[in-house]
Amino acid sequence: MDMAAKKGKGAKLAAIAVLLVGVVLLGVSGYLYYQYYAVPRCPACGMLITPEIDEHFNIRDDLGNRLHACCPGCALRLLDPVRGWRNLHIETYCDYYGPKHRIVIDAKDHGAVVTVNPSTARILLGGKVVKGCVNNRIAYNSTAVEGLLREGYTKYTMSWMQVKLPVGTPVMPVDKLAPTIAKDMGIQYVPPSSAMIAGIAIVGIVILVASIVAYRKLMPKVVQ
Amino acid sequence: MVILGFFAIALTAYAATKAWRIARRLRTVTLEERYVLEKGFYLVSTVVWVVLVSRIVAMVLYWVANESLIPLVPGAMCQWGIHQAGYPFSWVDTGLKSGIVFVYGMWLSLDLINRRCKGAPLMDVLSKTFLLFMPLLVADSALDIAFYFRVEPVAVPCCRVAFSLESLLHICPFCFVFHDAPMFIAVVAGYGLSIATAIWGAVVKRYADKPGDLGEVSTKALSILATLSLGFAVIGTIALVPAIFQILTPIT
Repeated sequence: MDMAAKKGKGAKLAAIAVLLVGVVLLGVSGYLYYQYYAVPRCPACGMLITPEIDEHFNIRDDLGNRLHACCPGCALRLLDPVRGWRNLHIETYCDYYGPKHRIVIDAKDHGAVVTVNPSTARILLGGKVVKGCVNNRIAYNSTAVEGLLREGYTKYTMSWMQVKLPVGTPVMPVDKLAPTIAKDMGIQYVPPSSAMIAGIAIVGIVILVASIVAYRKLMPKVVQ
Repeated sequence: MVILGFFAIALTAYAATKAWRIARRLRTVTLEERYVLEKGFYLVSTVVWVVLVSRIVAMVLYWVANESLIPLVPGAMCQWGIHQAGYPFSWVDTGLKSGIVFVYGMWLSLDLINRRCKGAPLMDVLSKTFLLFMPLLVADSALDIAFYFRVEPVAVPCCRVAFSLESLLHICPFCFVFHDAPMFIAVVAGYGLSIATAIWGAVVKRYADKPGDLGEVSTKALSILATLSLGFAVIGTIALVPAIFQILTPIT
């Protein structure tokens, strides 16, 4: 085979390789994009919503749009006066007794007016002692509150929350907690901003350019 | 990780005594005695290779081990929680782990050159630098042991406490790299290795101008390191494209 034919074959192979890399890149980025955005997040803290969490909370806004939250604390944080929703309808169930003991919260005006059914429902805000959604529970009545304070969880508590509650966990009525947690904590999660993405891209370009410069400086003259 | 830590400390102690003897005696020995020291150095070099490679493996394993601990620590949603459970050793260990590959690689590159040259011309430098790196090596291993003995299933706060709207960094880097956008692991690894090989190359460059065997071998090593550095940077950039695509906010 002469040199020209060899060169032509090499160029073809290189073009196929570049094409393959391009297709793989597109496929990977498409899949990762789907993975990143197809799974909903808790708007309050950014936690990914698993099917278990999805089943645990049914939250609707005024227009009937479905919203997500990962724990009872975050459900109320969605009422954030600045970044949140004005009115919410929250349906969940007792972390001690399970799905047969439903708890319905109707919050209006960013938590200023709250109706809870049953009125005996309480939130155990362990997240106030050791920060984290994993320490928050909702209980149907005082017996459930005592049980959760004692045991931390039952088989009805979401699997990722099955830990003991921290000592000193405050027990709070939903209507009292709603306006304060919405105002004081509110929505904290912010998705990656354009500035952050641009920053990452710039860092990448800088490293690539630096490596080209380093290559030119390091490569021995004889080999070059 | 704990076993690797103990293993590294034991071998480091053994190699350090040998390296110390070589470094001390090398200047005053006759040609015949130098030959004996050279043979001893090959043993040291092999032991150090085992130690350093085990530490580099431990560096990768460290992140895997931390990730696997998440379900065992109540409240930990990512490696930030594990770091809280292993405080304060965890943070120092992570800081050290981010830099050691640059240092260990330098020694390994020079040793590879030394092995390919007649008369082990870098024996003196390598023995001394190993003694210099020894505290780092011991600290790296000891911190692993301390960290993993310290971690207990205590309730830890969630990373969202530290990375909120009010904080300087809104997004937890552990959540971001390991859970949200894992393509960035390839980006960080690619760019990290590119920087590392460039640094090793800069060290090797010092010997490329030397006459004889050393210069020749160093020149070859330098061209390999320079190419590797560029290659890793290209790999990092290729991985960066889908990584950025992944986090682009969807149009709503």
